[in-house]
Amino acid sequence: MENKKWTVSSVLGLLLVIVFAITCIAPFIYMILMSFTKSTTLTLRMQDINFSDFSNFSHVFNKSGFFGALKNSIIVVCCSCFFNCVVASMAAYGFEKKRFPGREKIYNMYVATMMVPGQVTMIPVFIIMKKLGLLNTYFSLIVLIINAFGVLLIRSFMAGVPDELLEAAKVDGCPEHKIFINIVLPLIKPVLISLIVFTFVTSWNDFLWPLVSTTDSDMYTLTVALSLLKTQYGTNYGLIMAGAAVSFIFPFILYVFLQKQFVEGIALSGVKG
Amino acid sequence: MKQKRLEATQGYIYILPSLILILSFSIIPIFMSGVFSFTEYNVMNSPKFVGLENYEKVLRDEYVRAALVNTLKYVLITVPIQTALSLTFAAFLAVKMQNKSGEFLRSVMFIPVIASAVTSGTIWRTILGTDGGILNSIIGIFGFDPVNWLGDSKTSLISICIVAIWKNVGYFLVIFYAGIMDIPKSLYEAARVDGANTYQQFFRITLPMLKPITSLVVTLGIIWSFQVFDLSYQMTGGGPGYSSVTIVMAIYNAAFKQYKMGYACAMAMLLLVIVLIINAVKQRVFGEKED
Amino acid sequence: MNKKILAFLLVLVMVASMFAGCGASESAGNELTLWMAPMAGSDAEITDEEFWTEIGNEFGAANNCTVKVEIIPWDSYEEKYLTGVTSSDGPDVGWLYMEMFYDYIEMGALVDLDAHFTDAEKDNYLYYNLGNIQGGQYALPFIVGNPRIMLANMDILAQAGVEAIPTTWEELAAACDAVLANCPGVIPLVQDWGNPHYGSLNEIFWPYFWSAGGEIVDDAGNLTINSAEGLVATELLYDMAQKGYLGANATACDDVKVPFSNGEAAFVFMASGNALKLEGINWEYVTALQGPQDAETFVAADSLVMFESCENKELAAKLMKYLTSSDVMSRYHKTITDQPPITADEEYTGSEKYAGLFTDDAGMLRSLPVFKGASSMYDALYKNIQSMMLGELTPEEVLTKTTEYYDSNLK
Repeated sequence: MENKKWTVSSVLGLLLVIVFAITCIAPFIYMILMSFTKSTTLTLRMQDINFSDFSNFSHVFNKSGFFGALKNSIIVVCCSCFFNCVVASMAAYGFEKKRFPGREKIYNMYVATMMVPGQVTMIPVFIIMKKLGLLNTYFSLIVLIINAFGVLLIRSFMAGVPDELLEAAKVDGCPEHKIFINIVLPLIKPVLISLIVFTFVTSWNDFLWPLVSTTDSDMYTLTVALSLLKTQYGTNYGLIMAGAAVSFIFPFILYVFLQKQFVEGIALSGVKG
Repeated sequence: MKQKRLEATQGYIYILPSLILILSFSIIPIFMSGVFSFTEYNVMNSPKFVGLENYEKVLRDEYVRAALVNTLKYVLITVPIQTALSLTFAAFLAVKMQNKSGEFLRSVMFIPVIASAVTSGTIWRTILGTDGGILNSIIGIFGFDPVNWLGDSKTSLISICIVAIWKNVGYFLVIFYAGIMDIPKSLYEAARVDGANTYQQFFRITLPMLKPITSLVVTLGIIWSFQVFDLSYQMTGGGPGYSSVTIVMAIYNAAFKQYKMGYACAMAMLLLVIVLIINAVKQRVFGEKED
Repeated sequence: MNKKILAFLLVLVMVASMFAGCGASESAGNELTLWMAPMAGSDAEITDEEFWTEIGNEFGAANNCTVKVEIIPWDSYEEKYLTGVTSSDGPDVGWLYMEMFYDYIEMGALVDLDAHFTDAEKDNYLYYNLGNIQGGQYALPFIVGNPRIMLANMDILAQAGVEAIPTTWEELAAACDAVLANCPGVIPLVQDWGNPHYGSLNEIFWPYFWSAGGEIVDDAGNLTINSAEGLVATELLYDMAQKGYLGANATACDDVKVPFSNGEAAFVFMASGNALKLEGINWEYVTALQGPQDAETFVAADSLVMFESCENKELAAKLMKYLTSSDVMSRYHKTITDQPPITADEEYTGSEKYAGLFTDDAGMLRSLPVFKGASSMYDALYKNIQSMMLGELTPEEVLTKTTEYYDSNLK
């Protein structure tokens, strides 16, 4: 399908792609430049930029609680990724490789929950968490990230794990949990990476639930801290951009190093999901 | 027999952690939401049954109507554009640029996906500022008058749509690109032998082969769009007037600003019904079986 | 052989509950949570958090307890209080504004403070009776001040040929015309209709409304904004927008301090405490403009409250007394925000500019009434006026729509 001929329309297409790519990074460059100014007006003047002045960043970290928020976000994201993988791969293995009464009924129920937007269940979940005294805990922030998507994703991949392999292992006397940990998990590694990437993006993005469920500023995640920064320092654009930069830089660095995993992970979630 | 029972036990144990979570934080809450929607409930005092009153009010509430209309507009603007853009870009890159520079362009377009919606909203809010915002300065160079992007009810929602598209294209591009790469090369070769040009190949092979992926992209796009909250919360707060209020924002306001949990649950059920209807329609359009 | 899986599950549950445990705060009897509102300027040297943390530490050291301080940003104020108060992690002592009281009293979330104060203490508070709401002493007035006054940039007025600061609606209109004619690029009267929060009404609507003779609610708690007087005020606003007094993009502006302090605006309504933070602007003020009926403006009446969920009410009352003591208050008024005293034993040491503001002009200052669904009504009214500013609603429609919405949804 490759076609190396460059016609007028394909040059136009290239131009369009390049323009779009530029608009994809320009805002972030603007953000970085702004974060080194003391600007209270929107206009970005080159002479205002002072790359040796980190006062906006130190203000954001020391006085606006971004240090704690960054820590919370990292804890929540890492735990969500880990627990989501564990819980989802176990369930997917159970659904795909074990026969038990009601299997497909329960699985269909899982599929059905995928159609329900999280906001529909937000209020009851808030009330449940409140009754259990779990608001303002990492648990409440993590547990809602874990949903049926991971199970569906992994199960569709798990179908490719040959039953004969598992049977053979069983015949050899390999205990059940070892079959799962030593044979199944390594075989589904690509889809686990995919799930990790997906969970990472969702959980780092998560805003509404943390906004609703955390009242203790020690428990704010970065998204909440950033949105509050806007309300407190409305026109101190340098400071707000520094906050935005802090919330952007961590996933960005991760992306730069794990680009392949990110892109392939998302691609796989699309093809399999 | 014993073997079967053992296997079943193992199966239950494997799905147990997941089942507990899904039951307690997805399935039970859906029913609770349904029950609460018939009550008046402010969290502090116990719920009071009020019958269909909440639903009657929701359907008459102008604020909810504005939120519904805005959300529908948002879906109708963002979903087609982001699907078309990401598909076009993916096809272009697959046909013309299966090389390092194509890969670079793809990874650049993925960057907005990495940033959270709140971060993107924060940045775009300053970029779209009316007096002296950088976008107005740029269009000023070309001789256009400054646009009151977020401060005018005619443009506020569109501005949010643009940012959403900007943020989502990279994600769907990656999915489409992978889908195109999965299409057997032999199909294209056969077509070329028959004398089909690039466009014919695109419409006769790529597009039909991508149908399941397009269906997924459209579904995801619709579901995400109906849940839009972060961007409008961060960029406009729903204003000016009611011009960029969304359904989820209306739910949030009713529940956590006005303390009307029952009323908010009625709105949430409305959202659920809409999403289910759209899903059914989509399955018709893409000719998928219910399963 | 499933034992190991079970063991693994157990570990999982334990880890999960550990997370739950380390997040939840143990509220023993000697820990108090104090929620305060931000009043310091955004570039202030001492932030609200630093100030109240220090005060909290002083109190904690003297009473062998810990005070956990939380500053709640204005934009998400009501949501944070709701989630905080309904969960167990809410404040023991908090800071509410008038719009919020009805719902919390109705829920039974507030403590009647009367028993915790001696007669001598009550007498020392200048506004103690203001805290008597819906038949109980639920509030301890804390900031009775910060009136919204109209500032004028005198240099711009001179340039426009206006000699004295306007004191009536007519004079303001004439001055705005003069500014439009003589000072290109200057917004005559800058208003922040782009602010996402309805709190801006206090600056840019209620002063006109009251000066026109309007009343927000009647004695029975019915909404009465849709009156001839209300219409006069709303039409005034509409006309000012139509004549270009408010600038071309009033609905894009969410902070009036910037254009005013950059010399890009001639007039602005602003809280008195914030006005003192302006630098390099030659400004004068008028407390309230004379309208057809009156000359009145908004004054904040924010109060400290104690929540029923508080475990050690004696200690919390002690904290409230400490926070409102003349020592703490005078430090607060000096470093954070310039406000009039709330107790008889504190002297006003603030700006000389305001010498007459809290005495001679005190009769012009009004605070908001307490009624059901107040904040939601204000929110709806604010959004409808925004739509009016954008030419989508007429002044009549603003008032009728808001009243209909209130009567059908909020009452």
